[in-house]
Amino acid sequence: MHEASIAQGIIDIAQEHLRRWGLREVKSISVRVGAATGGVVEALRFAFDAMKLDTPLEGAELVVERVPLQGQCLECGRPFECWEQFVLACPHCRSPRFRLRGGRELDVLQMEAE
Amino acid sequence: MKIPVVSRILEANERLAQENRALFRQRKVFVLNVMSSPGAGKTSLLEATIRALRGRVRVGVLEGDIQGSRDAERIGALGVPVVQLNTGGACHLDASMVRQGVEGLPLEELDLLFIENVGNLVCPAEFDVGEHMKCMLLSITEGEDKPLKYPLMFQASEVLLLNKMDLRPHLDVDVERLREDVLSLNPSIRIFEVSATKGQGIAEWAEWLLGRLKAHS
Repeated sequence: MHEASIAQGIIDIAQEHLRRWGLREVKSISVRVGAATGGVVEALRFAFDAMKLDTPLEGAELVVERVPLQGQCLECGRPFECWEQFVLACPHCRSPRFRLRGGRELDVLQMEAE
Repeated sequence: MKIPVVSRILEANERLAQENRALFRQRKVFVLNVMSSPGAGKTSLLEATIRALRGRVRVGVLEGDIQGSRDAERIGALGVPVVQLNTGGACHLDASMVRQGVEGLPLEELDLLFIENVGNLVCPAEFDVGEHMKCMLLSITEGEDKPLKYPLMFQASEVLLLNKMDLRPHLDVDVERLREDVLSLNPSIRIFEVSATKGQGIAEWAEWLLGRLKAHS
């Protein structure tokens, strides 16, 4: 995965909000990462910690909320969720016909800044 | 103080991709994003496709590589406009790199632009660069297990070219199984069996691509 691009995206969004609110530094920033994005949280932290140096996020903590992959089967109708990146079939009835309901999230939620 | 943000992290890329798409529409150029593993034969496929389309449509190429300009030299030898992009280590092309790259191409003189992405079966599928069609190449030497190991790229692509079919007699690869797995991931994907270096299947693929281009314009 491309965790460096994601970390850069987080830093860019935070800097834009700092400017908009007239603030100087970020203390913490919360993000949501869905399992189906393939984002590896450990790699994301590593990239974020390397890339935040010399930015107003230098002292910022990255808070990650992980979201499972969630689906609903179109055959048996039952919902399911798991921590896999991909699901090929409904875990209940093995049908390949299902709808993805969650797990593609890759969002910044909020930040603490002063 | 706490600040609510609620912003999609890759939104900047999506916005730039939309701008690229608008630019391509305005210049009336149809854009393919060509993705595969390293060594699957993307540049050979482009060489063969450009020869097959010669005199019928005006083609340009954007070459994405981590480093070097060897691919651009190969394409340039065919007399078509080409720009080499070096990602400097990044594992995929993004919309901003593509935007910079196309500034070096005479877009208004092109009908068809191939973007050869960085060789990688994972990341390129996640990044919209403003293309009209995602095209995937898989060489049969890579084995029939790839669709179930790297499903996203197979799901995201409109067309799959199975390359190096001339080597089939020498390999232990189950092409029927491969096709079945691809179609289970993406029932509407169009599959062509080709050999870019021997020319097998290239005419059929080139005709289909021309039809797709006409349907779009």
